[in-house]
Amino acid sequence: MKHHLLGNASKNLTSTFHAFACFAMLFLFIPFQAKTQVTVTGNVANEKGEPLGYVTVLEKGTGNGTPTDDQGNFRLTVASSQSVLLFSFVGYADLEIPVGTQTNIRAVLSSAVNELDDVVIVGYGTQKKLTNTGAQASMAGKLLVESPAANISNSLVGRLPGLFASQASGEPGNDQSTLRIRGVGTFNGSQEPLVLVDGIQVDNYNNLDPNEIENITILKDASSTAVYGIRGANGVLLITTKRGKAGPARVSYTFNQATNTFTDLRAQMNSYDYANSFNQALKNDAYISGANYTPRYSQADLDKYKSGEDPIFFPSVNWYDVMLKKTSAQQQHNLSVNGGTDKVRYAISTGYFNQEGLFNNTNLSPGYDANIRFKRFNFRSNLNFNISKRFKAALDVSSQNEFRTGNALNTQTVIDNIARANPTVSPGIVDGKLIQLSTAGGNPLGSLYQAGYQREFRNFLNGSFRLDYDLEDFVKGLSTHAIVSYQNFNSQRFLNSKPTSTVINYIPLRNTDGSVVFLPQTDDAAYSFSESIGKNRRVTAELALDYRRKIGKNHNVSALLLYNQLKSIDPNYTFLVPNGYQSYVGRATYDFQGRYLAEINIAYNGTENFAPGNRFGLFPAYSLGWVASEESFFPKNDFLTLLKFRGSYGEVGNDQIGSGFLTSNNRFLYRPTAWTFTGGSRFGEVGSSYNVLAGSREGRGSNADLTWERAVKTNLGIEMTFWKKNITLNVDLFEETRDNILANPQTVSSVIGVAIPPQNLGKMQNRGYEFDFTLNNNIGALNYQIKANYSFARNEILFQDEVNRAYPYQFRTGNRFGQYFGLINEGFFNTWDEVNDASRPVYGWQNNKIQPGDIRYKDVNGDGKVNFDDEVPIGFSQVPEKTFGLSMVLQFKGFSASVLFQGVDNVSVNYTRRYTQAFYDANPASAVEYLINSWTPERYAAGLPIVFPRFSLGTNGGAPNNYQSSDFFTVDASYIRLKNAELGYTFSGSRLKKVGFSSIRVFVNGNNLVTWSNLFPGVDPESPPTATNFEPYPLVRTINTGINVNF
Amino acid sequence: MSIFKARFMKNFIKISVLISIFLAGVSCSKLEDFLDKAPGVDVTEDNIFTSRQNAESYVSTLYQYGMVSIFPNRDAAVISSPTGASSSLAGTLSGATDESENEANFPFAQQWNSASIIPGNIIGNEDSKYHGRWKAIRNANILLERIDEVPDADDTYKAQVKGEAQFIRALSNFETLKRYGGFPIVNKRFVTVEEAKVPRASLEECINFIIKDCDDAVANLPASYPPTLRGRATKLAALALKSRTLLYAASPLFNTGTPFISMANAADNKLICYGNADNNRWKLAADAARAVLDAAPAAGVALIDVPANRDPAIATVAQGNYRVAWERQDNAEIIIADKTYPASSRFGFPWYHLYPVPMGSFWVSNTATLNFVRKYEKKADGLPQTWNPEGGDDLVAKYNELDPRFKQTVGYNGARFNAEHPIIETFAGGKHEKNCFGGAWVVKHIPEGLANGGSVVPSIALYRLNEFYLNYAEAINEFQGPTPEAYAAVNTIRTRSGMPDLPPGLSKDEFRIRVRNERDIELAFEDHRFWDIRRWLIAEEEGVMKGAIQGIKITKLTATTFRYVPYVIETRSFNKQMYLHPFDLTEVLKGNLIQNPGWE
Repeated sequence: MKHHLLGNASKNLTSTFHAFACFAMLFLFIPFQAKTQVTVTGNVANEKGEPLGYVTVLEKGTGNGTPTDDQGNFRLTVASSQSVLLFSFVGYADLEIPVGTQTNIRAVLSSAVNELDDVVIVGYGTQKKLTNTGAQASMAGKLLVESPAANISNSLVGRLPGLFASQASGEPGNDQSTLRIRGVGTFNGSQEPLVLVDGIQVDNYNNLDPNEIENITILKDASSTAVYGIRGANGVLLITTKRGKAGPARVSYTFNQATNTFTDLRAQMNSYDYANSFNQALKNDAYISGANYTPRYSQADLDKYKSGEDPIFFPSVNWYDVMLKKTSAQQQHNLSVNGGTDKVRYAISTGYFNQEGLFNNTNLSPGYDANIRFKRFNFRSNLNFNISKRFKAALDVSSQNEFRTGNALNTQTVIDNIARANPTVSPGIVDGKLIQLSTAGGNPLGSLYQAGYQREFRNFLNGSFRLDYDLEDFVKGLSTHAIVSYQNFNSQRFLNSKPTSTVINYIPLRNTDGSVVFLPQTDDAAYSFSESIGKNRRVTAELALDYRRKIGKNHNVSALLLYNQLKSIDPNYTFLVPNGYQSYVGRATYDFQGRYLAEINIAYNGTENFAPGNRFGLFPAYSLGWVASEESFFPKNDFLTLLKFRGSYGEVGNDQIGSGFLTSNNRFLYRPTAWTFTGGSRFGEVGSSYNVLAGSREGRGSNADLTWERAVKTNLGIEMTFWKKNITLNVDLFEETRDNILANPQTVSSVIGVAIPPQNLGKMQNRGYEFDFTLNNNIGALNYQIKANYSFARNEILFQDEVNRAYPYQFRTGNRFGQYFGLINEGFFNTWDEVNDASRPVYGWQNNKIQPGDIRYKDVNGDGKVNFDDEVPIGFSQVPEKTFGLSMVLQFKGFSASVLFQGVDNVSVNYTRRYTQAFYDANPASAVEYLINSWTPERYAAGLPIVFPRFSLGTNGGAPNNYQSSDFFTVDASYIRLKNAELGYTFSGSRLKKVGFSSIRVFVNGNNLVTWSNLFPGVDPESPPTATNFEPYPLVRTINTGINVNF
Repeated sequence: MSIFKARFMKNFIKISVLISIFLAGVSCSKLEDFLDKAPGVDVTEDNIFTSRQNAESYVSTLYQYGMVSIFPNRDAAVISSPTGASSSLAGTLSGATDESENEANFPFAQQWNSASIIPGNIIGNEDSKYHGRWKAIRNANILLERIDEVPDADDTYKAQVKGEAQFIRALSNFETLKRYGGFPIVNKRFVTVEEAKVPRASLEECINFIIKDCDDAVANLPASYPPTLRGRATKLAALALKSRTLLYAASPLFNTGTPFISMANAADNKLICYGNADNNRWKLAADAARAVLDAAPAAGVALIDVPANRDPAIATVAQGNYRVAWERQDNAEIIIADKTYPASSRFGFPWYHLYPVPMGSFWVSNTATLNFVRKYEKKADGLPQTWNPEGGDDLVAKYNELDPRFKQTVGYNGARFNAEHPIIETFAGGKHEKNCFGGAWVVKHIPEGLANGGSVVPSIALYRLNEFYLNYAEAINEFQGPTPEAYAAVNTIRTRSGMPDLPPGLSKDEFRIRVRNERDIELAFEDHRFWDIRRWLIAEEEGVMKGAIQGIKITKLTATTFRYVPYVIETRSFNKQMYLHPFDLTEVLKGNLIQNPGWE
């Protein structure tokens, strides 16, 4: 840790400062106390009377503790008779017993599900789980630590019902997942949930150290999100960080060392197969273009590729091997201290994370490092002060520093260049020289060096100060709080690149004696240098009155009145105008004997995104609940111990209409049409008076009525616990109708001659259900927990001003957002007889020149033609409708093991051309190995398996028929993945304590371990190809070993 | 109970007071002030028409949107389409005709050659400016509507701007007409989306609308401008547009009772043809062409004709009358040119569509086909050259006998390309042979200045005077046969390039063949051939847009003798519906356009 900090000290003063500040704080808050000791013994058992081994017995507020033995017995010396023992064990609720005069204590732990005491995190506060009426789901922060994933969003996959997370890239520092809460509710606006860390809206939460996090909660229905009003429609993700607990300093240190490998990579054809297939493609295409077939590779060429006798001039290079490493390293350190006194409590955490990418650094150019290296330093200090009995304060300071170095090309371009490079283009690096056979390019190394390398530093600095004042003396149950928060971001990027013409490469020449010499093509040039910076900041302020009271025996009431404003300043915002929000929030809850529950949440929000007069909106939500199991008539039994019904209805908004709203030209759409002085033609005589006459243009039309998207949401939920609370089952049904979706009118003829402004015309519905199930049980000393969750969300576009289609099945409206459309394939044309059959439909492309090996399509409308009119909805969209997760935790004595399976269904992927067609693109591009199973007359005659249509060249005229959108290449992308697994052992006991440790845990865990899907080799179902000239940096599998030491 | 009530009331009052303080406190931040930080809009339409200078900027944009280039890809590059559709495909339309074959297979012309055009890809495969033209028309309509309001503009200027708007509107509409036939007539700026639901008008109404705009423009526009404003529409430019429009209107494609294919509903045939054949339309076309020739001197426009340069030697080919007329910007023969672009090298528009890869470009150019080279007559006698279908060893001699315009158009083996490539080698193993399918490159349009990395302004003529001699000759022959005026017009063009006069005594049909051939030669590679063969309804003939397209393979025998062997480059497909473009599928689905026949 120290080494790394100092190693980078010269690069960045800020991070060094943070590191010192962190250590200084550690010493500041470690208190020293005197002791008068008492020794207690005891036994721990569960409710059935079975003894529980390996229960942690702690002297509360200290690090002093011991585990129970196999028979549940323990012996512990505590500070005094005032000490309190804290018993904790997985699957059971924590139990506290004051020592008092007892010397032998019998503790009975009850199952973890204890509705009465459980608290849930809601918007702007917490509520009792039992009386909460909203739909939310949460997970403990410690689950995040079980995964060696670099950032938080990747650890949410499969954990929470209603949350879909998908990781599109494995690139270090850029591998965060896309999150969707309850699927997709809008077809044009932002679909991103609102994210808050400790109540403060943040843009980036993925760089938090997982060790800092106490809890993650998602808010799903109108009742829980209405307080966020205009920003709540896509759901809300609340992250709570750890706070200090009173007691002597508890120091915890964790070290992780991991190895990353790509989960799956494609294999490419070797040169012989490649050249052979290429000739075949030329021959096939000649039939369509009418050109004469001339093979590109002669028989002599083919022979040389086959024999490999001339590796310089007839190479067969696997560019994946040249460009990529097999493994890379990853380390993570975290040191945290937690403790405090009555007056001050602290939780301080410092973290370091280092991950290397998998690009091979080929040492062609001194000082150039192609590999991506990502380092992150985290610091967080959460302090709580009890200033007086009524007056409390909290000061949270956190910082994330990120360093990223590596080649300056977009990694998606690098991977694409590797995938596109054909095996014959160059022998790669020979004698330390980059050899190029053809000047036509296609060598992925050249572009890599030319793009140069970059170093990027990013600093996030966040501070939040909160004051709480209890107004109990003034009005019973009343309190108030105020928060001011400041977030600051700075980034700096250094780029070193080479001029276009100076990438060093050599061409080989063969001497008459057969030897080969390499001639340099260009002179080398120095790297040029450039620097760019970025910055933004945000100030949030909040003021609230909170009222909570039990009136009489039966009535519990609470109320909240809150004002919140934030201002974000970012140079990237349109016209540099800061973005502001204002919210007035009100909440009132009532319950009668914890049986009948009612709640109202209201937000009144304003945003400058709309015209004055249209800026403020009212977002109310109402909910009711009934805890049937609290009724006197409800039979008391061990089978069904809790039965609760709840329902909510309300309205929330989304003002992020259209993607990248704040930085787009949609941002001030309500302003009058702006004209710009730009462009213009040239006039005059060339050579004397030829000049631009400045032009002016009419801008896009304006939309003064612009408003937010409005989501009306309904939610029905049932919560149940069974069998002495060992099983819980929650089921939610939801429906959302979103209207006012900002969309471009599609039916306006272009003869109008001006861009029509988008309007709030779209309407969409989203509905589904989700459940989660938890079982906690034990078989003797083996404790286990099984959690399962399942979510289903289906949306439907109700209106989008769609053009008039010829056939009803062609309308996009009425389908899910992103529904794939295409033709229905009926196999291949295998013979000329089939092709020349007069009764076959006429194909509406390539002039009906079909040949054997082409895909045969269904004439859906039966008009004797196969064309775009025959496209029907195929498959689903790229956002899955069904997501599920299954986790199991086992604990046996000191051992623990856990696994997480996760999967999705009702999802499709549309392969881009490079996965499905050889030689796609200029120069020409490579061919994937599995394409050897393409249709050829020989394979057909021999009865070999045929998976792909005939070979063709990928540019115009090749085989448009075979690459029409169809269910041939738009396929099922469902999968099941062993996302996560962990095996650990905890050492504890008196011997350890003698040498100063309270416990040591060693563990092995892994991420993205096994995946089952039906996709082509090398395609990850989570990060499928999305654009033709980009390929995602593949996901990585991480195998990690770690140790956690507690003092 | 009452105690409880009283306590509750007390608390209620306290809470009310607190809430009031709370609200008062947070209201101090002044709601609208906190949010209202939107920028002011500096320029609105009203600002444009408050001064002549601002109005002039909008006129400049009118040209940027509305001027037409003979190189299709320019359009998408200059104007981003209002609907997002654009073209990324390269090349000129020449490669879709018998003039040439592209050196690569990605330019859109290849889609025409394999008859792979469909309504869904027409924007990308030829008409990248479809949407941009409606933008230009809106620009013109707004100018016509508001130019009178400009306080510091005099009537002369206002008339001129109206004329310019009428010219650009007519030009845009003509460009739509020649592709699609009848179109929606947009004669005012649309304010609501309802107004934009305009159906296609009949072909006759459309032509009349264009001619009316041309006539109005002629009345409003000046005969010429000072040199600093060269490039703006003149009377002569409007007359030229009128001539070309009426020539197309009189041609067999439109001037007929029955279209090449009937519309799905025969009542809609008037959208794509007049509905009757009327020979008098050729008279109108002839008169319009005559008007251009008559008005040219007043506008300072004349044929480039230096007698000494009618048949330049290879060494001085750059001085040839014919070459000077296409190469030199702002020469006397140009009526109006597209001046939208700045100077660029061979790697920039439009040169990257013209400069051959073996000469050091990277994009795409054209190779001249044997089908095209065959059209060149022998300069000695004006008779067709004989090309042995089996080939021969006398290629150099054959080339040397051809029309002097040949060496000013085609970059054949042994010719000069430019200072960087003084001798073109397209023989097997030669330096410039790669992908030279036709056996010869095209040098027309490639200025000498591009050699050795130079940059040249692409000031490419939209109308040059030579066209109107040929328009006139064609129209008058169709109207009343090969009159002396028709002969004189064609011979003027031939003479200035060192070719003998047409033989006397030709029949009307014979003269038609000769004048069409003259047009193919004189206006080669200038975006005429594609449209001419469609309006003449000859695209379907063997070797035009259909069937075998030939090139030659050249073998070097000695330093000065080369063998040629004709071969088939490719066999092209043409379907009858390709006489008109299909309307873009998305536009048709919007409901107000009736699709052209064969494309439904």
